[in-house]
Amino acid sequence: MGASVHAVAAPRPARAELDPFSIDALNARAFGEAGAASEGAPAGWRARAARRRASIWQEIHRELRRHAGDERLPFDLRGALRRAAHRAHERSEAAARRAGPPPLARRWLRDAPRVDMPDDLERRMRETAAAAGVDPDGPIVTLEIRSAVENFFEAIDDLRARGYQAVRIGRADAGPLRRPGVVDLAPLPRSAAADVYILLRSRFLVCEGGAVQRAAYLTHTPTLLLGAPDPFSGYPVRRDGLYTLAAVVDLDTGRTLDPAALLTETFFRNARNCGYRSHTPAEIRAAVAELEEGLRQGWLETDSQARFRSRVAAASAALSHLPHVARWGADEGFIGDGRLARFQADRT
Amino acid sequence: MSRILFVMLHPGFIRYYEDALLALAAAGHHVHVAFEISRDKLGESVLAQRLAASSPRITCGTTPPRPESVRDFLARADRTATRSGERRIRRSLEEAREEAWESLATTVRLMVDYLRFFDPAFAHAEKLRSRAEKRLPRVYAPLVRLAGRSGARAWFGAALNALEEAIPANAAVEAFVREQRPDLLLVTPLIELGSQQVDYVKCARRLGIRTALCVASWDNLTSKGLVRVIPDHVVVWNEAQKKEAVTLHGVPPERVAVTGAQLFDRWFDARPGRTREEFCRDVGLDPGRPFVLYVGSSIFIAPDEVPFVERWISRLRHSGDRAVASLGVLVRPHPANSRQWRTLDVSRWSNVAIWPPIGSDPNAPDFRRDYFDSLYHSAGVVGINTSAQLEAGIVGRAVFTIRTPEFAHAQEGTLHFQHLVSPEGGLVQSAGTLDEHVEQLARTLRGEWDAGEQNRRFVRSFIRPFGEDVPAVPVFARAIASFAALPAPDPRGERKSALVLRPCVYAVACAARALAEDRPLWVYGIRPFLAVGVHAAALAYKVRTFARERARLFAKRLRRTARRAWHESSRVLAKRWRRAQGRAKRAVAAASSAHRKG
Repeated sequence: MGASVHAVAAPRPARAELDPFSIDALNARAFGEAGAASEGAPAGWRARAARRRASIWQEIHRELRRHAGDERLPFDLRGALRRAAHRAHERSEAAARRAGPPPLARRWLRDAPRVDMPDDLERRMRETAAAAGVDPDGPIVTLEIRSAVENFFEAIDDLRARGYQAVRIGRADAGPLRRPGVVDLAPLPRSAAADVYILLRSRFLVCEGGAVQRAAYLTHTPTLLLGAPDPFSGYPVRRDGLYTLAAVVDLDTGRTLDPAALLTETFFRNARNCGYRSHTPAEIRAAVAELEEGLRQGWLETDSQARFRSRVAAASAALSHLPHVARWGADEGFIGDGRLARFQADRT
Repeated sequence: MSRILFVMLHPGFIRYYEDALLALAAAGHHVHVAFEISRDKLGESVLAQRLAASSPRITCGTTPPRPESVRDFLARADRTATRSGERRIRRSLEEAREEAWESLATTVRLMVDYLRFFDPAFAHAEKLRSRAEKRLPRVYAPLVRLAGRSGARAWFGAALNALEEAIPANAAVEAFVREQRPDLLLVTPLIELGSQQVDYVKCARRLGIRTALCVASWDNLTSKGLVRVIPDHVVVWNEAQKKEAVTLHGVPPERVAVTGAQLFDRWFDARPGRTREEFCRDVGLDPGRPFVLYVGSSIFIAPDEVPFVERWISRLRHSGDRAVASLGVLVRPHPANSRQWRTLDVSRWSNVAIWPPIGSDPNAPDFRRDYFDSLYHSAGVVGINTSAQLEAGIVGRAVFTIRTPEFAHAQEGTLHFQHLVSPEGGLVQSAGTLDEHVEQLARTLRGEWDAGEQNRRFVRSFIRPFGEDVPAVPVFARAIASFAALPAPDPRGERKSALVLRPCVYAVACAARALAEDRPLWVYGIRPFLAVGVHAAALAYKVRTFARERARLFAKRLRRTARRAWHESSRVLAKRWRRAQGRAKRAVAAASSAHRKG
């Protein structure tokens, strides 16, 4: 309950300020997300009204509970107050759900039309990219990196050997990426549309953020999402998508949780007690190689990958009462045609 | 010899004053240390027991319980709590009155603390400001913001100070101080957000007892609340802190005493407990390579430090400089922020270790020795913003930091960080990027840069202002003893204006008590109606229950009467029947005998 109340108090995004062809704008328009953080609440008077209703019912719930705790009142009356408080709480939760971003429409996304740029904008972005050293006509792989850039060196060298040019977009918080065969746009001042242009031109995307992954669905760019914090939010919608789960560590014991443990309610209830460990260079390299081979030679799905998909879909139905799963989980039983990277799926 | 009462927020503050208290006791002074709250997160209670056992002149105890501690106040304001809790049933009107005054005091102090962060000196301290705002019930925040951003900050601050003056001293605190009869009352830290230690200073002033604030740490005067009621003396480490006390807290310069940082004296005399080779073997590093020590920061400074450290280690390992690339790395988590380090997988790099193991007892005998050894044997120390960097400077190691956007709130966003990196006397080599940092490390490893002179200059100005060889503990103890020996100040009664205003202020206090719940204002509007409704329902319920009980009783009695009536009437009938039967028998017998005779 506490999380939902927090959610309804989230700030509204300043959507008017977004560049119409930025990754944030694509997310905002397609998924009602508030920019790169992608967890904010949508704007609009309906959402505001729903948030207000949720808040009012929540306060009524608290007031009733306050009286229900008064031992001087008759026992039966306290029981009645508790039941009324529970109903108010349910109404608050329902209103909070309406105020939150809509569930990810996975079926729609699977068949969504490709977003394209207007010709003049594309021409300008092409010139910008070429000036930065990108070969717009060659095979490009887009990278969006948040963890240590050095972890990607092995994968980049592999891609380079296969004839790809790696182009890094997104933010440069992880530091500059200096490696032969890489054009690092992240530290450069550039138009927000440049990132979308690179996505449109790419053979595939390797990213560490959900917002970029979802923008890539709209540009029809195959994706590899690395280090997803849970099995639902990043599950790839299309057949040409792949993802890996971050190693989740129980901060009390130091134990690494099995991917199957991430499909339980206990994990979501205890999320504050969990930390995330990023991938090793070898894991990143293996996942990138799997995506590249899948795109080049066709997908060969292993039993463990198919089994994991079924388990995620089943868990999605079982945990639909959790706001996070309701937002990111299966869409009428459809979680996605993509898969968990083989090196992880084989361990489950 | 003097009697000193030292009020500490919790036993964790003993770490800052243990040696100084022992020195005072050795000089013949009696010291009673009273803790406002208990805390055992890092085994602090062990410290209190150890201190009390170390000298017969030192005793430890608790302060009197408060009707509403700051913790209670903040808990009441927790909107996300699933259970709003039972209504507290007060025992008396007196208790209700005290709770109201406590609520008002905490509210006023939290407002003052929030307001101070609108001072131009805190222009970049966004996170500190938002931390202070979060503690304050939301209804007051816009008011303080408005005053803080407009020209009315000084005026609003003065109004809050007047309110503080009008709040009566806490009776239990006054009785406690009176009972202790100290010659000197020491308080620390006093500047916690909303701190109730102000009441001790106010009571002592009323009773004519000399007071002193002991500033515990280097960030205390710039990252927390305001010294709301100025004590007779303020004891600080150095001239920089004296300047902060004067300019940011309005303490008259003549009241500030500079003594040096008494808690660091032990670092000057410490010697390593083992050789470098032994130490490296113990912690799991290659003894053949130099190592750099990464010191973790507190949770406010670095809530998510591990991803940064992963990037830092990766950058070191991929450095073009062979010495840096093969450098050992020892990570030392902050004792109060160690859990997150469980996610750091050191096995992915060679020659990287975490020490001490996460969850180690900071009060264990070897803990401090391990810490000193890790500083002493390192080639340099890296951190975001932590007092371990001061300790590294004392030990004479080169100290580094990397300015990074994720920690901007803790670096550019705090004033105390400037002491570390200030070009005029700072001891830390600051880098804007990891590349620059690697270059600095490489220069240090090549011996092209020696931190010695820079560290010594810092120690002379910040740690031991009376000279590198002059320990701070005796200076501190002498200063405290001299305060205690001064004649007691005249008791300062309450101002007449405060007494006149008090009834009005009490109404404000009652409102403050209600508003501390941090609910939307309309809730307070409907609350009386809801309460009336609930109590009317309770009354109706009681009436109905009473009527039902009466009816049941009446029916029961009726049934009993009927049964009795039936029972008794049946007995009478049976008797009459038997009598009739007897009479009939007798009549038959008489008739038959007459027939026989006849």
